[in-house]
Amino acid sequence: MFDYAHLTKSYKADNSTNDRAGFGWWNSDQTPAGATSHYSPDFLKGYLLHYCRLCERTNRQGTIPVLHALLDIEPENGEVHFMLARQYEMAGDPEAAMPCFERAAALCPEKPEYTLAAVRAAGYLGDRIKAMSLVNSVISAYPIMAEAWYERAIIYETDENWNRALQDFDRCHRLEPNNTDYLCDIARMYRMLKLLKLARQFAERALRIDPKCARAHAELREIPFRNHIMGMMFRNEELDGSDQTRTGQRQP
Amino acid sequence: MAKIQSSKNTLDTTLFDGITMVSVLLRTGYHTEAASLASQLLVHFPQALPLHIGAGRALMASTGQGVSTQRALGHLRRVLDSDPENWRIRLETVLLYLRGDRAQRQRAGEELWIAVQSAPDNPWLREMIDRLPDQSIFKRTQKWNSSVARGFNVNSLNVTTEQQNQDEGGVARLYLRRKMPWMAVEYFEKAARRLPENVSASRIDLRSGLLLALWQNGEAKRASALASDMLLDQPQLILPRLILTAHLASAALKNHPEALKRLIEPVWKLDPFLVRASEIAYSAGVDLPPSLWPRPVQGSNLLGEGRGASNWQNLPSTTLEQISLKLGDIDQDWLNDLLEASHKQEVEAVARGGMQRMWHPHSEVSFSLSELDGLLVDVTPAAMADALSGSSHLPDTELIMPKGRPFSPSGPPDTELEGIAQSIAAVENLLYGTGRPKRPRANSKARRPQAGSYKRKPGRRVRKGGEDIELESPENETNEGFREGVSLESYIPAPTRLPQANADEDRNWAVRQATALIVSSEQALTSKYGADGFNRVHVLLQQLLEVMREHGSDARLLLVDSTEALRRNGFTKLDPVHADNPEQIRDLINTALPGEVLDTSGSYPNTVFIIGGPDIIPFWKLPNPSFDSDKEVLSDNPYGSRDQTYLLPERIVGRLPDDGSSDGAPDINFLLSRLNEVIQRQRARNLPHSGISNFPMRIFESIMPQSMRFRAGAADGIQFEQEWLRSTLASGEVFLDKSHAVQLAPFFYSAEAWKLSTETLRTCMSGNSNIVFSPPTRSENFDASWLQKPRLLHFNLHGFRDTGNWYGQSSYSKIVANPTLSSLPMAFTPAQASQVRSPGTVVFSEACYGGYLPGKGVNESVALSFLEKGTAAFVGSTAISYGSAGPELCCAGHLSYYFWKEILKNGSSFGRALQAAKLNYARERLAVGHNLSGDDAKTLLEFILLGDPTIGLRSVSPHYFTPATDMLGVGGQLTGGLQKGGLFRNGQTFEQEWEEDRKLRGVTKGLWGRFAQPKEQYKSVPYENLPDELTDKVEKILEWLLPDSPAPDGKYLQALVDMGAGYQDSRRTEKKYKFLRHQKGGDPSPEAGNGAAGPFEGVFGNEEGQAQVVLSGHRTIQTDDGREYDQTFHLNTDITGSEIIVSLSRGKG
Repeated sequence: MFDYAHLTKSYKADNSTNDRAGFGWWNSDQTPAGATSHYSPDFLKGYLLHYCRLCERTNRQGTIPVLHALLDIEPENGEVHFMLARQYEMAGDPEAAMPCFERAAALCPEKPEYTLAAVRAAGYLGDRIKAMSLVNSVISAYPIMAEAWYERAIIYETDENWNRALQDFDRCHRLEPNNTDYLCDIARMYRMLKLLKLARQFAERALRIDPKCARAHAELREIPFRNHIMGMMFRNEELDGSDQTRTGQRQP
Repeated sequence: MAKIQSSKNTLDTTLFDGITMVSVLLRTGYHTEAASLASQLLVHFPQALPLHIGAGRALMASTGQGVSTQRALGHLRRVLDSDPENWRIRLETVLLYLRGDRAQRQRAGEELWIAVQSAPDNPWLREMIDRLPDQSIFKRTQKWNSSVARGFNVNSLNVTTEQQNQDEGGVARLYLRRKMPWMAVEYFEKAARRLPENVSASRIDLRSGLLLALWQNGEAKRASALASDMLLDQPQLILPRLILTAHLASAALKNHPEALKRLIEPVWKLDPFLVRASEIAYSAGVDLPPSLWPRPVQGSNLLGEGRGASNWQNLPSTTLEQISLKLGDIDQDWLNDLLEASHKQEVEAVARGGMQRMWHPHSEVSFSLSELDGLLVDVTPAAMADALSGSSHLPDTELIMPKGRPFSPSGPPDTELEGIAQSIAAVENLLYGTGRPKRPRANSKARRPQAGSYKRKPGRRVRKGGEDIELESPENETNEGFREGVSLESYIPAPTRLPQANADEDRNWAVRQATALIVSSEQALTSKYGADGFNRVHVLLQQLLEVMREHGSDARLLLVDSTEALRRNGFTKLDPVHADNPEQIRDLINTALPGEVLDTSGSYPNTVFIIGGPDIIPFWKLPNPSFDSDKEVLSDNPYGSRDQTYLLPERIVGRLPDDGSSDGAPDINFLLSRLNEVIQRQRARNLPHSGISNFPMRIFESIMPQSMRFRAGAADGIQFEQEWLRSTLASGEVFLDKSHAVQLAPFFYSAEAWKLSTETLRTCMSGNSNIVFSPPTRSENFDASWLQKPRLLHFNLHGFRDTGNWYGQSSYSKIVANPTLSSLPMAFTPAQASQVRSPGTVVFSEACYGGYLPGKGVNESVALSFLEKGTAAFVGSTAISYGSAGPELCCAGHLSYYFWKEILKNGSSFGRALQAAKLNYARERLAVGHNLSGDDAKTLLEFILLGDPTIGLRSVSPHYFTPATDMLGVGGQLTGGLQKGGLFRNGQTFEQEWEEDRKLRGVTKGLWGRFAQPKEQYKSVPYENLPDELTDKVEKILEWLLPDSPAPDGKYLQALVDMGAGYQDSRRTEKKYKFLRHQKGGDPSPEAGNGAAGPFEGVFGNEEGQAQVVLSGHRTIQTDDGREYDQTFHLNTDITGSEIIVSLSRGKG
């Protein structure tokens, strides 16, 4: 039985536990199946929430109505909004997910992961202003949270503002120096800036941490060789000249 | 199956009402419920910052630990993200961070630092920081506070290099407050450079400060570039968006309202009722097109009929949506009652005036700093410091107490309980209102709300509006849901704090509120300009009233000769009078200002603003107290006097003249555009000129150091302001510092003969301002572009009744050498005055007949020409005026000295400045034992103000500030100027001053009687009969000062003895009257003045004797353009015993 939503139909406003004794779903001979009306709302709510949490990462049929039902009971619960948004997202409906994410972020400002999820959704939908505002609120409240800087870097990258993105990736790298993903991102930014030497250095640094890092290998493949013994074989007239003057100007 | 009903307790409402409800719940202490409602509203309006504030504050108060603290912090931080300069919200985050672990406490220190940097000269904040205990996290802030913030001076910010290195925008903001944005730009850039890159990137407050400085410095392009750059990174910021929109609205997107709307839309979402946004725009001087601001629907007052948001137009549609809120177990009826009370309060607050700008007067959920008075008013900096340092050993939940708790100003508390009570008052009191009533329940079994532990404290005293009320202990809770003594009405401010603009009955408060009476005549205007013309004027007058009321002035229109208009404007008991009868008009004014009648010691000056020249509201024609060719003196003084004290009016009087040309049709456009200008300037004015509106005083009260709290009311507050002003002002007799001298560029134009006294005045004003003499300058070679920049003009020239031109005069030494120079060169003409635009200029003219209006058209009077070109105030004489021949200042020059001083040093409004100048002039004369001479009396009468008396230099010259203008500053605090119009001078309390002024008026009132009949008062004495000592002296003086004059004799000099010289005891010890040349008399010879020596009997050689002789002479002078005039000059000789004081004044026309 996937449809738990009917449980909330018999939700009772107060938590009184009268006539509960002797009744229960295990006592099926006295109460018909599915009639859980004698349980306290707190129990019911907790039960349903638990169910939804279990479903958070799976797009399970019937979860969305349950979440809606929960929202009827407790409209200001940010977690429910968040889970609803996740369900919409997994169901491939980002337009419906976005407002839910935003509500979750507004209701639970103490949970930066909700806000960052909203940032991702907004970024996906192309609402730069919203994404930027939300990610800034996380950054200002949790300045040591690398994920937040990462999200902002992604926004800048979407803008093709490589320098700003590089700064933010660099911040991520400084907060988590052993995370190879950030090193690869930095390498990508340098590649975009045509600072190939630096790009290569960062990709190699990632490989030093994790020699099997697939992203770093891919990155290195993307970087054309120049001023390198290998590059002499594939001399690229276009790129020559510019790199030489700019290499080494910037240090991360 | 037992069927259980689901809860149906829901309420359909709108955002506006929702915010009200959250606010009311917070105020009444239902924090959990408030948090729940705010969160439910957030579901619909996730970006609305007022809701974040409401939720944050509610969570902050409700539990005080764990997740709620973090959540509250998150909500408040979102506000700071959009409004980084909001130091109050930042202070609240400091409180929250202090609840956290060590890292968070560190953060608290940093946030406090930023708060101080964004409001460096907030006295409340400063004092609070002074009281913080020594903790490492506060150390930096304390050090900066003590070393830098106190070291600032208005004229020079003497900051040492070391201190500057500490600074992170604070110094720049101080410059910004002092209206020196160019310095602020420099310091913001310095601060940004000094910080490491990663730190400065996170300091958006620095960048928005820089943006503000650039914008205020007039670098609009740079500012908009910076704004768009900031918006790229921080699209949630309000200030850059406003500035960018304003810039683009005037430039690239001028014809694209849709694009502008899209640009501003995020601000609407953040701040649905634009409370804070309009505050920011207001303080930054951002002018947005009206279509981008929601405004009240035409013809409806705020909140009055339609209630709430529904009578606003241009509101984003979402804010009007119906939303449904779950009330849980809150009783709907109870909530509706609270809501109704709150609406009532809003309406009253609007009626009080000054609230129009604030669309949502609920300080509990507002992040608007101008509502800070409601929050801070009862928290002392000391209590806040206690809360910050955590020295109160009580959990945060107990920091709740009713607002209005009296704090003992000094010394330890009486009892231990009292001590605890005092210390728990800190944080919550900052936020929420009065004691928390017992909540009525939806059903009897419902859960009781969390009651704060304060409930257990018996008999707490609650102060509301000053008086202490003993509250009953909690056992006396009544079934109505409120503790006894607390009812719904308690949430409505007491009527004494809510003066209503139009309440004719119960005018007790009127004593405390200045009334601006706009006086004009319907019939005179109609007969001059036709009914249509009158209607056009009337429309503008109504606008003017509205604008003035918006500032909190109690402005009323008095059309003296129209019954209907009197009724319409609330003067139900007054009957119309004839507009051509000045005495009747004055009686009407007296009855229309009943507040004055009640005045005992606490009254404020009312303002009479006359619209129209002498054709509309005539001048008073008073007997000429002096000896010259004037038969009468035209004056506006009596309109300002309740009784016969014509010399020193009690009220502020100003007049806006119209075109009075006798030939041809008068031009109504002159009056219309003058009125438009007045309205514009009133709009630009930030706060009421009188400084008496309730609101700023309450702000003062709230930020004032404890020891300086008001005892009785606003008067004490102004005393504080004065003390503050005095301590901040650089002492010295120069009225303008360098930067202002550059901005305002005072310009002096004087006859060469009066070079010395003009130079004296110039030295007082600003040592190196421009001064031009005539000759050599004449009207032919006077370059009108000289007047382009100056905003303060002083003329010391000759003027005559039947010509508008002013004339110069050669100095006497030159005339002696070359008698052909004796004619007066034409120096200045009305045509020259109308060549250059002079917006916001202040003109003082000492010339005779400078302000003479009857029969003068715009082209026939320099005064009207100046006004036509935008001059804000013109002070001139309606008759022959006098000035000194030497370097001292007397008569007109002396009056102008006080006028300029009042404007430039005290920041008074123009009307108040002239009134105060007259008072100070008389005071100075009488203080040294002189009587007022006829010339003095004439000077007091003849100078009139043409222009709006209620505004001051600040509203016409935005760069100008007096210290009173920046009590609080950018970052959204109360900014802009207080134009002071109150009756206050430095160093005196209001009562003393009032008393002194009253005495002064009493003295002059006695004098007036004899000036009214001067010819009988003075007894003519043949010149030959004067004592030789005197004539010797007179001849010497005349020879020295008037080398071109004939030898004095009886024909030439008329000697008059002042018979009624009821001398005061001369106080020799206080002789500071340096202007007068005085010499010891020669040998006492009792025979002197034989013959008709009656008046001199017992004078010479007798220490007790006193006499006053006026020697009045006149001589013919010619002007270059072939006119011939009589110039009068007077020698006032005061004889006291063997001492003779002689002063010479010469007519300027």
